[in-house]
Amino acid sequence: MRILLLEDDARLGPWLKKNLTDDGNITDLFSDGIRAELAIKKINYEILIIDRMTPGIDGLSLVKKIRSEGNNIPVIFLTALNEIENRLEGFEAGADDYLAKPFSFDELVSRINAISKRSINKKELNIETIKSGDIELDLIKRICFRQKKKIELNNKELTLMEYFIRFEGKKVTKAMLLELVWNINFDPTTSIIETHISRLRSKIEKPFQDRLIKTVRGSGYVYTPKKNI
Amino acid sequence: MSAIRQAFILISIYSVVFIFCWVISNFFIEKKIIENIDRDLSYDLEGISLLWQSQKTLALRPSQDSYYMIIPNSQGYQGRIAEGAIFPGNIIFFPEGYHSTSLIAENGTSFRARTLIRNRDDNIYIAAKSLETQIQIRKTINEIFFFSAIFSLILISLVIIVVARNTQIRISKIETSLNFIKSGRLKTRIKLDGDDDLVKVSNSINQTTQQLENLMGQFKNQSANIAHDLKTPLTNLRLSLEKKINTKKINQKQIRDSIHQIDEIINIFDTIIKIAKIQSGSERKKFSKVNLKEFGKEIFETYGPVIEDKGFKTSINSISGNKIKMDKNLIFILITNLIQNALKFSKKGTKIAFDFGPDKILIKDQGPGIPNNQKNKVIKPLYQINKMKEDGLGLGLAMVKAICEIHKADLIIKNNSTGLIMGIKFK
Repeated sequence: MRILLLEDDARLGPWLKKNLTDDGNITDLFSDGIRAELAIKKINYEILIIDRMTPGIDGLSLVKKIRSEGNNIPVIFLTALNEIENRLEGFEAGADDYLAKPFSFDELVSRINAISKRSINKKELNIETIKSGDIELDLIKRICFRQKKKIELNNKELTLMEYFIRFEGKKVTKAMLLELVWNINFDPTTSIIETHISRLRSKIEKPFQDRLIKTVRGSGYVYTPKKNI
Repeated sequence: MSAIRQAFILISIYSVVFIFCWVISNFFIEKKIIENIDRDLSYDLEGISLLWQSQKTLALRPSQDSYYMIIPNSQGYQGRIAEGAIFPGNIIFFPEGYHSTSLIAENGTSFRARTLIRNRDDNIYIAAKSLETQIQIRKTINEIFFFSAIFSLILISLVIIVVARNTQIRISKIETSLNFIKSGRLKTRIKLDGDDDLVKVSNSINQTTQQLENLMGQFKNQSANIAHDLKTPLTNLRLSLEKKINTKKINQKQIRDSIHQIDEIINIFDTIIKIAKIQSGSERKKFSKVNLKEFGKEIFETYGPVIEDKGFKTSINSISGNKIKMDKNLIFILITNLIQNALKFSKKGTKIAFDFGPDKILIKDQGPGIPNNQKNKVIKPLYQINKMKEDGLGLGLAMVKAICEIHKADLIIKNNSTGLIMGIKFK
């Protein structure tokens, strides 16, 4: 994946570039918003990782500008500003995701993977039903079927399942699920995610004696659909 | 601008206004006098005109300051106006109408007079009235004006200077106190007697300083606590990293533990920043009306399974559909903290119940409760009952309190026979 990284911190920028490159990406690092803008116009990046406060043009203005020019490259904001209004500003400017510092590299990679997948699946956001392997979700009637059998899921479990399907094959972190399903951007320190996933598993996996949602120890979950026979 | 300087400006303004009023009054007094005299002259002239036409005589007995004259055939004439006044110059050259002129008395002295000249039936009729009495009255009025002006100016100046000096002293007291406060002596208070606006301002400054002193006290206390609380995880982190340097094999568990400790430190900072943000009031703009029934269901849907999975029973005791203005995200944080406390301090198998509405959200547990003498302490940042430091940060209830305050709501901490009731009561 070709990634543009705009980060003016002299230690964090090169560190992120090295690790993203080690992960198999081509990463161009810029510490100045003006140069980053020129590069975005010349090179077809697949994802932009942008620090909000940078010299030249600040990250927020840069994203607003490229969006106003019709550029839809997925954007992740990296920032120390983590209040709800800051996040809203970021999303209103056109960001696809928002990661507050300090963050784990694993979290960033998960979000990069999710967002690249999400950008492909954008067309599906307005559809009424989602199918994945032998699971079918009716998003309007809020019903789940597996192998044509109706599964009783509550609202939160169904939303969880929906996001697992949207990010199928990709790791989804606990922080991402808290944001997407519960709209929580703080650590509730209680086991909300573990509990709800455990309950989801008992309904979606246990009767069929298989495992669709795998735990990635300490960081998140990966949903892999069962191939239709 | 000092009060004394303001006093001088006020005195100057008063003087200018007084002089202006004086001039205007003079103008109107003179105008009124002339109008009255002109009216009298007009009546008099009509009188002598009729008398002359009917009787060809001036059998008038003029008053002491009135003079009449008729010049038949409009011949130019210089001389007496009836009894005792001489018109200076040739009357024929004076146009018809009213004139303010000087007349010469029989004894040769001149005096100011108002004269009316009319040409009628080929005769010139003249009526005149001395202005000496009016001039004297005006002079007297001006003298009264002048002396009252001087007297009132002196009196007002004295009053203003005394008041201004007094105000200046009081302002200096406030200024001195503020300088003390600025230099960090937060125990300084302004002491002013009376019940005027300066006292009100001083009281407000004193209250603000008191608040500042409290906050600084809390801040110092919190800083010390934060420093103390961070030392433990930082020491653990340092020791584990030190150990890693000394061993050639990298232990995955140790690394995970280190990351966990760093996350704890970050969490302490995040929570402290969040509390500060809430206390600063900048969160207020996110308030909206929330249906308590829907919100309660959402909370129960999220936390009900968590509570059950931890080995507790749970239920909603009551729920009502009232709409309450709140910051939904902050109330979610408040409830999360109260649930965490209930889970931490209650025995497994007991019940954690919810009440949503009509004007409060309550969480009832069957734990040991909070001793009455600890109720005010538990809401202080970094305070923990029994100093169970490994069991949380001691910031949860401080945040709950801050969230209640920003909602101008009451924090409920109540022991009952079965356990503890905690929650928020909206006003």
